[in-house]
Amino acid sequence: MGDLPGRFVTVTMTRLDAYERGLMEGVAGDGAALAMRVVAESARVLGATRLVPIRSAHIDSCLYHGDSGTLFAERLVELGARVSVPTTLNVGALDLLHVKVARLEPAARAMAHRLTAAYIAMGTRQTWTCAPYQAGHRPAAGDDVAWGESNAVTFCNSVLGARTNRYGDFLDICAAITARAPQTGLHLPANRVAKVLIDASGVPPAFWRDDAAFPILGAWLGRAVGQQVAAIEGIGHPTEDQLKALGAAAASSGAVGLFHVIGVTPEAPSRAVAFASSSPEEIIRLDLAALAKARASLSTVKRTAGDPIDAVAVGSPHLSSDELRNLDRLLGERQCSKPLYACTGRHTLHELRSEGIIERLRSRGVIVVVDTCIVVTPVLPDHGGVLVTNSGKFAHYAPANTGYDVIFATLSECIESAITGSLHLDSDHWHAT
Amino acid sequence: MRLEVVVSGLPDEDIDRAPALRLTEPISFWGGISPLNGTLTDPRSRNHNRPVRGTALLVSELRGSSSGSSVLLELIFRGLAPAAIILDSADAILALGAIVGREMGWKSPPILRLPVVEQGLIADGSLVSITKDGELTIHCQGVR
Repeated sequence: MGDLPGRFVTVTMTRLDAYERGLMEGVAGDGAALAMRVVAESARVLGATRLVPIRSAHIDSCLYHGDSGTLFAERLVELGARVSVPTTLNVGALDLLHVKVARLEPAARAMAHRLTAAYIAMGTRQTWTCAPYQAGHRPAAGDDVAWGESNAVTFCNSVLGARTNRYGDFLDICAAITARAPQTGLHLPANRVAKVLIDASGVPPAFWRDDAAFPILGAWLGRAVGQQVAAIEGIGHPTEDQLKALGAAAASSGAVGLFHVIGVTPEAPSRAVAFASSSPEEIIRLDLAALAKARASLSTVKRTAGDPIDAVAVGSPHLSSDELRNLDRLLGERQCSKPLYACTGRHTLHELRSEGIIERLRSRGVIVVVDTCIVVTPVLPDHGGVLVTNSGKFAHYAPANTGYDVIFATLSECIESAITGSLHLDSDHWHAT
Repeated sequence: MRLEVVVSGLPDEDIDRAPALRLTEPISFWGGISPLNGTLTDPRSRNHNRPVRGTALLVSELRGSSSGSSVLLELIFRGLAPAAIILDSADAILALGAIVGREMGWKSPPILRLPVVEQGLIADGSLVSITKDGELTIHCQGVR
């Protein structure tokens, strides 16, 4: 198609196979045809010449942003669309189990409920979590999938080795309906090869013993590499929850969709495999000074130990059962004097039902937030103030989305601060910077 | 000058004399534009509180959130969307908002591409016309 003049005209034709053409022509109904048009148009914009079959989807479009998203989901339902691959749902704007937790205006609440109903009607699993990978949705290494929500995408690519791009709202559900996504980006093995080596051997090994090290590393990584694929060496053997915190922070401070940890994550058993036997295009030597700066960037106000705080929040991404057990253990028999919000998915309530942990946490002043979280819907008291968190992602989004100032701290500092109502710091040298 | 049409508008028609609103700082539609009233929300920006409705919105660098499509769709639904959105590089997340807006039958802006160096030739506040094929004409240079 050379009929358009101009230097910037790039006309991509996306070739559809017989199944895809059939959907477009309406053999599976008007809803599937609409979804196929959206997928094909997105493929054209992305420059993808083909679509790729996908085996599962994780939907971020189920979060209420306004009435238009509800009307689109209801249109799909009216036209008979249903998902054709296993599909989980990300957080919504409501705590569906505890109706008073999220404070939406009545009209918005009604529309958020209609949005919820539409996604259920399309045959999705009601997981309502940003950690679907800890709620039983774990694609195999090498599987092509279509996931939304930046932390879920990064975990899926990096820790599970399944392949997804960061799908924007609406494309996620359309991919789930059609079982197709544009074949581009991280679906292509060549784009998954590491380009940047992060050499962390200059950081004292003791640094990695604290959980807070991983969101700090993530916040640094996102800014340092943007959306390039990095392979990290020299941080020991992080746990799954630590990799989750690292990825979530990297995906919110930058556009990281895939990282490797050499010797740990599935596509990086060795440096040679991570880089496909090529040399790194860039080597960055990580040191404590850079990490201290990254840590400072996660707080929006300077406070010293003993200063009053207003609230504490943990659980972005949603807390796993292990993280809730750890919270319970560190809190012990003590009572919170300021609200401590612990965000999690309904899957952990199910897993922990025989342990009595959730009830015990609640009795000590912990507000367990389920199906949603404090930065996507009004949960925190609206008077504002100072919020203490150990989540790199909460630290990134809370100031704009809640109006609270944020202090990033370790989990034990978070808990001690919630108990006393004033900022507790274990590690003064971090906070002095 | 000629712009690449990434997604055509609905209706697919020429745009006559829209004021250019040129964003020289990176912006995320989610968090950067209020879907409720269509104004720019970054208090640190000189464009704070300016409405995007009816403008030829020139975006030098797009950031972040995959919920940008939802914000654009909501602006389209409420009649608060720009007349045209001009990006440095084709962005699937924003394009999705316009693609779905079109599918819903709502008046939707075209998404066009113009490299950021050439965006610099269009001063903030200029009146520009854009044909449905992407030919852009500057009528009067802005003074802002």
